[in-house]
Amino acid sequence: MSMELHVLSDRRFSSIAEWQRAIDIEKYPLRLAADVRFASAKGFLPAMLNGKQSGFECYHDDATGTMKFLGNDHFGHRWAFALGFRWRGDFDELEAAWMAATAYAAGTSGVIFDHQEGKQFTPAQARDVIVGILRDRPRAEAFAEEVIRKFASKS
Amino acid sequence: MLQISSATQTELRCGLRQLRDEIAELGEFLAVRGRERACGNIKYQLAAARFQITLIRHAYACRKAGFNPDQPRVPRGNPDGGQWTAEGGDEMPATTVRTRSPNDAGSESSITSVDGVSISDSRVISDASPDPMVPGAQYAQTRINIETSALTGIQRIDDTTMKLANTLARVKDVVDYAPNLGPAVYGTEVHTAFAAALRLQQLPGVDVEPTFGGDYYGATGSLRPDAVLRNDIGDVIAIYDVKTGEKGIDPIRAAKLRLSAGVGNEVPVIQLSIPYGVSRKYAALKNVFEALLRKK
Repeated sequence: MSMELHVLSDRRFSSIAEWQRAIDIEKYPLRLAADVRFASAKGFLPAMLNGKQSGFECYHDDATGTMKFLGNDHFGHRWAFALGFRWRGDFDELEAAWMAATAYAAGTSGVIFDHQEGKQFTPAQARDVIVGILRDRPRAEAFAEEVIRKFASKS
Repeated sequence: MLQISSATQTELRCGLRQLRDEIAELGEFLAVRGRERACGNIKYQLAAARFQITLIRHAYACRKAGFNPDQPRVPRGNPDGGQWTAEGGDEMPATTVRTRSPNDAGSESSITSVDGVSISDSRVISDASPDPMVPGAQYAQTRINIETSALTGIQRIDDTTMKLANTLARVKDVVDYAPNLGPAVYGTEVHTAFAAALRLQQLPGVDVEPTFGGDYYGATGSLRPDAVLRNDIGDVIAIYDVKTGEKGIDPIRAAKLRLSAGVGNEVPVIQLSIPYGVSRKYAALKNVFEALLRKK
């Protein structure tokens, strides 16, 4: 598991409930586990995506260290908080992480930094990324099955 | 007052003695196990240090002798096959490893060439030979650099690293045919296929996407590396993380991976990165690890 992104912001949500409200505003079919204490969340955060068990890893990281690692040149602003998202090879987790991160960034007036592209996204741009994920997913899943079949036939 | 017959008392005393003996034996066993583990760690560090010294010596000797790994060779089949020549050249070695300092993406210096495995930073891997998955198949088109820092000197770990790098190269070969996927979907696709390919191979000791800090997938607070390598008694001896994008493993993540696996700095965290190759991450981040341990 090591697909990653960070949300950088100057304020942070006080609870999972506040985060859930931001997700609901975006109308994403994602429900975070309500029994998790957001302030001390570290590791896998369970969630239901379209009624199906999913989730992603979530960490409160040090903002200064995170920006330094990602490259201070990427940021025109010294953000106060960094929330890390990580997921494994799983399209539900990919969707859940991006949806949760986009809602979090929108609700805290923050930005998203995608490790894959090495690039920063505003919440508006992140919404477009999600549209792209939803569009590409069926093809990607079909292709993944084909790849696995190919490996299986050769192993 | 409970009356106990003398026969029962004798029986109880005997049972108690047996229990004490077993506890003492268990204590002895645990002590031996602890000593063996400490000894294993020291051997591991020594082997890694010896390997590095050998490479450095060889690099120095090569440089002194004016050795150039890029100098072409007479193709095999000729009477002078394999000898250095001014033009033409031999085929790419099966596996090559390159050295690169973590902060120096551009510099390249050749080191050694042993038994068909060329350790050179001007050429990169990762072709078929160490990969048992597809016997006789064509070489992977993708080449993934293996930095010498990723090699531990421990054969089991290094062999697994090579196999995993080859699997990743093969996965990338196939996934690159996927039609126009966005970066996030592409990365997830590679991870999905890589995990599946590893599961199909059933490499000895390789545990794919294990869950640490929880007994099942989805456990709150758990953490999942891409793969770990375990020794014969089940201890984690290497942690692998795949990276498909621009950014690698950050030091905190490496420390968290070790912490969650219940291992120390002696266990390498090896990054398998498509753009940047295979490298060992944060071997000396003792302070970060210890700070996290204290926090925990």
